[in-house]
Amino acid sequence: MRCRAKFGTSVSEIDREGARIQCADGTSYGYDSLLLATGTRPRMLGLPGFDLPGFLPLRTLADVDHLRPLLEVPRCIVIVGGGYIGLEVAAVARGLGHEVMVLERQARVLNRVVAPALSQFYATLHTSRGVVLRFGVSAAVVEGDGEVEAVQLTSGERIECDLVLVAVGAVPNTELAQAVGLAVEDGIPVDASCRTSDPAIFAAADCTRFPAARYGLTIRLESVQNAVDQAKAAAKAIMGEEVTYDPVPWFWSDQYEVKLQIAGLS
Amino acid sequence: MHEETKQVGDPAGGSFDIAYLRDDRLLAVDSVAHPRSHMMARRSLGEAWREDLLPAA
Repeated sequence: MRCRAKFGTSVSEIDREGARIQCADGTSYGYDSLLLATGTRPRMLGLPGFDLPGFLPLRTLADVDHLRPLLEVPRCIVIVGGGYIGLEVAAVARGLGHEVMVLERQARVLNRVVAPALSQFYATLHTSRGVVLRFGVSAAVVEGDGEVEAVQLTSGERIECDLVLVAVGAVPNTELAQAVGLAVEDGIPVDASCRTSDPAIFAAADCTRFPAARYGLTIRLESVQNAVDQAKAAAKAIMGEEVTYDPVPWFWSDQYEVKLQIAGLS
Repeated sequence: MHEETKQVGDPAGGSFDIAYLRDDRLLAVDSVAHPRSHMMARRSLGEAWREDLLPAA
């Protein structure tokens, strides 16, 4: 079997009748099976000031490459979002000696994903290392002239800072699927063999919503485990094997020297 | 999804687990600095809860 990779262009159209994809650079390819692995993108806040250079999303390797040189001088950092990514970056930034404040809209960190006792453990851990946690607050405006100077909260309070990092979750990239008339519902729905509503089109990883039989739900998972295992399942299904993808979801989060490991969905 | 949680070990000791249960069965486990319980949990999801389902922290 031959494998070719093509970079630097996007798929602009899928002709499902003719089983061909059209790329934005004018090239076109036929397919027997097509796999969508379009991932997610960071949810952005539509805040004034979004175009300031010190106001960054946090999700991808490119985001981190962009951030790293900005951390070479002492910074006063506001992180919007007290989820896993926000807290992991808070831990790293504190470890590098920066001043760090985390703004969380809910009443506790990791609100959506863990029991209150675990939120309390992580709040205590971060506070003991010098991170300032603020709950029940939302950013309204990022102020600055050419660079970030402050975040103004919806309460009117102004917090001076020189970097604002946003980690408030991700949204699945479903636009291409939707544009070609595939079913879409907070993710691209697939069955246990990773097929979309078109039997010639498969999807895998963060962009999918798939049946989790053990929980009696359809779920969307943003994790390394799911990205790797669902991709393998999709590859097998494309090769004609019988596949029933029903994983035990597992995740981890490293904050300071403490490793949290999660099995299953709560 | 869970209806109740069980804590194994003491957060003050640095290693502990929180087990999430529904209908007394294991839905999920969060293991803090306790890799052995995580590996056990991955094999035990769906089982009825008992005190020795996860290793002591």
